[in-house]
Amino acid sequence: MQNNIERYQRQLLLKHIGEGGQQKLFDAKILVCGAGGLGSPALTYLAAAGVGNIGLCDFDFVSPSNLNRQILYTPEEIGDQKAYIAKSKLEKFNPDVKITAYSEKLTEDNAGDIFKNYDVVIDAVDNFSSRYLTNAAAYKNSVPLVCGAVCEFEGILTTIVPEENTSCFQCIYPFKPSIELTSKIFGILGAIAGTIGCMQALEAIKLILGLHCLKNKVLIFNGIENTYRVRDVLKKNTCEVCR
Amino acid sequence: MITVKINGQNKEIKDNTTVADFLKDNNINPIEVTVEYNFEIVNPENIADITLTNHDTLEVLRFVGGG
Ligand SMILES: [Zn+2]
Repeated sequence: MQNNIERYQRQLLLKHIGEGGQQKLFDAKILVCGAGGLGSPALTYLAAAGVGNIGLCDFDFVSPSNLNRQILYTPEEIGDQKAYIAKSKLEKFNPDVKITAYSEKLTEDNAGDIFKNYDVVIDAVDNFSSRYLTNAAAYKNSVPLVCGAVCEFEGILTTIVPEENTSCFQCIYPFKPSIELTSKIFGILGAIAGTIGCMQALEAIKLILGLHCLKNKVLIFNGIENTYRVRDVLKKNTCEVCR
Repeated sequence: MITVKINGQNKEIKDNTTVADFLKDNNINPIEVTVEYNFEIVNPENIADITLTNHDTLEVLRFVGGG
């Protein structure tokens, strides 16, 4: 441990982390797909925890309507490419962390090559097509995936571990939505994206530490009713991805 | 009336209610949700063909995909 240890003192006190756990975090490689409403908090808390190698993948540019939830960006950065701004902010926030920015769009062709370099992938994208793509690529390349998604005042979270043959995102939604249902249509409050994005960082950290995770389960958060419900996700023997 | 476990909670609903009727009665747009009926995901084309019976289990989950 050669990093600035004092910075991690409060989490070194935790019996589930300690020096051994912190070393695992320093050595960990976590990729966040999407540096938006979910990715901003997820990336920030991964960097805060001292995750040594963080990849972030986003091809988009900052626009004014991002700013109600994408807390990595400011009005001066409108029009700039998110991947590079996020990288420089996170490096300043925690110089112990090595950040790799990917500014290209994830496709079936490049996803596997990128995912293979990481211990955990966080799916923080903003649409169903990309979610099916990251789910399939994670399963194919045997990389654990933390899926989080939000819409209006609701959020969902699930953790997929291909090596343990768990159920996957497509087991939850085997029939694709007939129209693309995004926050562009339904709207989203920043605090909802922040809640689920933080939980994604937490799941990824727990995967690295070998702690209990939301495998074969989905957490459904309703911010209006203040409910968190966890239910089983049954693996479908008809699932194209994980069967 | 029959009792159906909907999203983990027992609810009383009318006899002869189909999954499509249930969604309509609760102002849920079928294209915005995935329905699991007795632990099987329902093909959206078939929601009008399934009539709920006493002690069935129904999970209705919105398509949540934004970020
Ligand atoms: Zn599956």
